Order: sequence, then structure tokens, then C-alpha cells
Amino acid sequence: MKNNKGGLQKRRSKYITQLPILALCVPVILYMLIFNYIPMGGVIIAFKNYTPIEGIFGSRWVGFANFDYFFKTDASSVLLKTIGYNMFFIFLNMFLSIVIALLLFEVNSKNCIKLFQTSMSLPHTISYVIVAYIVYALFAYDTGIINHFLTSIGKEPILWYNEPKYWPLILTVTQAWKGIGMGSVIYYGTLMGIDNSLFEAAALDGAGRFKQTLHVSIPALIPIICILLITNVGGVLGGDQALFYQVPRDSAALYSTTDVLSTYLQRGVTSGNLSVTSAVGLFQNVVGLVMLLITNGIISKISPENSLL
Amino acid sequence: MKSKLRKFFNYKFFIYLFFFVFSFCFIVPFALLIGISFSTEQDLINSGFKIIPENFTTFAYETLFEQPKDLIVAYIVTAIYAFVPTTFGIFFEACCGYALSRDDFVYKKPIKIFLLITMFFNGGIVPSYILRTQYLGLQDNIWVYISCLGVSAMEIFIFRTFFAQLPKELSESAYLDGASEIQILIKIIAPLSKAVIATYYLLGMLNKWNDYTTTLYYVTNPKLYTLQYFMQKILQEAEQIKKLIMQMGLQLAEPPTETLKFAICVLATFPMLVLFPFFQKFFSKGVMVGSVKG
Repeated sequence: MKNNKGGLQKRRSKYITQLPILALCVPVILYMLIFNYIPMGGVIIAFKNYTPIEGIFGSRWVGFANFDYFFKTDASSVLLKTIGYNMFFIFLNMFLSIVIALLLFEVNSKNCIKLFQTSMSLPHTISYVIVAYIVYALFAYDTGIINHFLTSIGKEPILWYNEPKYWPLILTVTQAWKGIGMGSVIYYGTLMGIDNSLFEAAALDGAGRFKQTLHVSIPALIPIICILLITNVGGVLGGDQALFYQVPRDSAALYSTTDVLSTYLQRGVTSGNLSVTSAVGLFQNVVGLVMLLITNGIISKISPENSLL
Repeated sequence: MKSKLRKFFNYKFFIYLFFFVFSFCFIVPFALLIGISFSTEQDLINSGFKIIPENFTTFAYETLFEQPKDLIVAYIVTAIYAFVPTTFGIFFEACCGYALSRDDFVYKKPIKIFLLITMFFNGGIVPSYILRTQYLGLQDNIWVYISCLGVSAMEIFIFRTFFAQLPKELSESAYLDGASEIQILIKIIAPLSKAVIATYYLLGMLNKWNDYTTTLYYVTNPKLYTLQYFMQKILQEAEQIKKLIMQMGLQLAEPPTETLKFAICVLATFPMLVLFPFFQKFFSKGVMVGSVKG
């Protein structure tokens, strides 16, 4: 009894003596309360007909009408595009990054590796606004490089920014160009971490460089592939807003192939259609959360040390 | 034996060749931007964009430097946006990460849960938009940039994991010498974690430098445009560049609209491209850590 009381007192004093350490957390806690927790409460406007004059609390409740509106109008095409693009990009970039990493692993010269890696990850540092300038330089109507090439071989120039059908390809190449250099860094790093004796043993068994890649390098990449694949699939409704907004220069004529959920949300905010937009945002977050939980469940089965919870 | 040697040489040779060509594809577009900015407007109209200008001229830059006010303002706003919130954000994250790295910290559990929840739920853009514009009055205000600290639970946890690996004896002996918690963090922990802190600091700065959404949502005043938004407007709206030339008060028969666009683009990209090779190590590290922990 006495002991217990002493323990309690000791612990209570700890709650007080550790206040300086708690103080270190205060800025983060305050910031997150204001900018993360208060907006969480704000999702109620997804169920209201929000107008700035009436405010969040004064606006009328409308139930699921905002969701209804989204699912009756734009949902099917926007969601299909979002999921289609994201899934395709995830697999394509992963494949290309792995191929680059495997090829780079064959390069012996340290200086060459540095040169190749630096130049390939250069696009990672620039914004999509600048990427959009590069794409514009290629596809502009009167001055673009591609149209000049077309006229020089006697073909009609194309109004690229008005023709939706070309944009899935343009967007795919653009995002791969921007992403794979940095993407391959992870795989290359993993390859560098492989114990050299494995390769030596395989060579002793008569495996050539190709066989070694097949039986030593690729198996070593499997865990990281799994983890990245699952985590990326979790964000399948997210995606790179800047890619879809900047690269087609927000051209309304191209929306049929370039408008995805994130640009739809962005346009909703800038055009002031707040209630429906917040309903769509809530839908996106709920799907994201479900995906994350599924992801985490799978990761904790495969490699528990990498799971989030 | 000889044929074997030749075979060996060949396959390596092709890999090197492939990479030289492939890396080239990543550099050429930047050369294109620079090339266009040094061309004459007439050449562009006649023969389109070219990497190597037919008639080299610095006319676009001269025009720009005659009245560089808009560009300088955008530069300053972007620099503030990249520097101030990231500095505070990283400092706060490090403080919180340090507190959580202490095994004996009694408030550890509730704070961890508090942070974890923010990783799983967020209100989305609309409630944040309403909060900032209607309730905090941040619309068209420089403080809207500073309010984006970029504090994330993920980074705090990464810092915590890193700090927890450091030998406990160091901070304990400092504590016995009478150092306060914040002194321990700044004098003992931070110098030992320079690499990880620098990585996230640079990544944070890069994100802010490249961000255009904050301006798009919250700013209508041209004096508060960031570089990225400024460039986006010029590219997306044809009349924007003409307005800019008019504001400059230049009387030109043929305003260099296209070359001017690209000159602005080059000037905005330049600092990042020059700094990048020095920081590439950090970015790679950030990608590695972020992916494995995430």
C-alpha cells in the first residue's frame, strides 16, 4: 500500500517535472489543432448547402444531396480516368525504374554513375510549371517543334491543345520523364546493399551476368517492390494534381482526357462550388483511408516491421 | 577466350551507350528552354522553337531587366515562402520528435495518437480553404504562406526514430550538467542528426519553391504571386504576357512575347538547377527514407 502510494506520487511528480519536455511538443500540437483538427470538423459542410454568408453553422442541412449530385454528373468519367491513369503510372514507373536501376548496377565507373543519376533525377527538382513550358515548346501550334517537324515533312500541323486523344500519351511520357530518374534511386540503393558474396557464389555456380540478375538482383528487390506497390496503390484516387493541371495548361477542350479527381477538386474550390467539392473531397479521403488500412493490413502480413501501426 | 572478352566488352559498351543517350534526353529539354530564351522573336515565328538559336540575342533578358519589378517581387515572395515556414516547421518537428524519442516521456502515448490521427484523417482542401479565408482572414495576405508550415506526422516519426538511435549517455550527461531540454536538442541532438534534418529541410524548401496551389487558392493580388504561379499565369493566359509588357511601359513594335516567357522560365529555374547537383545526395536520401518508412 505504502509502496503503491510512493509510486503514484513519483509518477505524479514525473507528470510535472516533464512539463518542459511537453512544452517542446506544444507548437506542433497547436498547429495541428488549428490546421488539421479544425478542418476535420469542417467536413460537415459536405452535408450542407454551404454559402459564405450563412457560414458553416447557419447553412442548411441537405443530407447526401452533394454526393448524389457528384455521382449523377461527373463521377463515372472522372473516377475512371483517375484510377486508370494512376494505376497505369504506378506500374509503368515501377517497371521503368527497376530496369534503369538494374542497368545502372552494371555500370562500374563511379563518375559515370554519378553523371547518369544526377542528370536523370534533374527533372525531379523542377516544378510541373516548368515541365509545362517544355511541353509547350514541343506542342505549341505555330512555333512548336513537333508542328514544325510535321510541316517540314509535308503534313498538316495539329492543334495539340485542342485534341484530347493525344494527351494520355503525352501525360504518360511527361510524368515518366519527371519521375523515373528519382524512382530508380530506391531500387539502385537496394541493389547496392546486396551482399557481394551472393554474386560471387552465383558466378562460381556458372551463372553469367544475366542469370545473376535474374536469380540474385531481382529477388533482392522483391520486398521493396511489394512495399512501394502497396503504398502507391493506397493513393490511387490522389495522383499528381500539378501534372494534370499544368501540363495541358488547364485547357478546357482537353478535360475529356485530362480531368482527374484532383483537378476536379481544385476547380471546385476556385470556382466557389464548395459544398459539392467538399463532398467529393470527403469521398476521396474515405476511399484513401480504406485503401491505407487495407495496405497496412497487407504490409503487416508481409513484413511487420514496415507497417504503420 | 578472346571472343568471350569481346562479348563482355560489347554488353557493357551498350549499357554505357544507352545511358549516355538516355541521360541526354533528360538534359536536352533544359537546353531547349535556354535556347528559346536567347532566340529572336522573328526566328521563332519563321522556324519554330530551336535548341540552338539561329540569331543569338539577349533581347528578352534586356527587356526583362529594364522593368524587373514583377519578377523581383515574385522572387522575394517565393523566397519567403520557401524559407520561413520550412524553418519553423522543421524546428517544431525536431522539437516534437525529440520529446517523443525520450523513453521516459510520460505524455508520449497520447501525443503519438494525436499525431497518428492526422495521418489517417484530413478534412480535405475545402474546410482548410474556408478556415483560412473566412475565419483566419488569410486571403491575399503574406501570412497565408507562412501558415503553411508543412508539419507532418510522418516526418516527426522519422525524426523520432533517428533521435532514438543516438546514445542516451550524451543527453543524460548534458542534463546532469544543467542543460535544459531545448539546449540538449540544439547543442547535442541536432549536430548529430545534421544529415537527416538537412534532408527534410531541403525537401521542404523545394516543395514550397515549386508550389503554386497556395497562390491559386488564396491570392488574387499580383504583388503576392509566387514565381510558379506567375509563370503559370503567363503560360496559360495569352494576354498575361502582353499585360506584363504594357506594365513595363515599353513601346515596342514587336513585343518579344514568346522569348520573354521562356526567359522568365529560365530565370526562375536557374537557382534550383545550379543548386541541385550539390544537394542530390540529400534528395536521394530523402526518397529512400521516406519510401521505406512510408
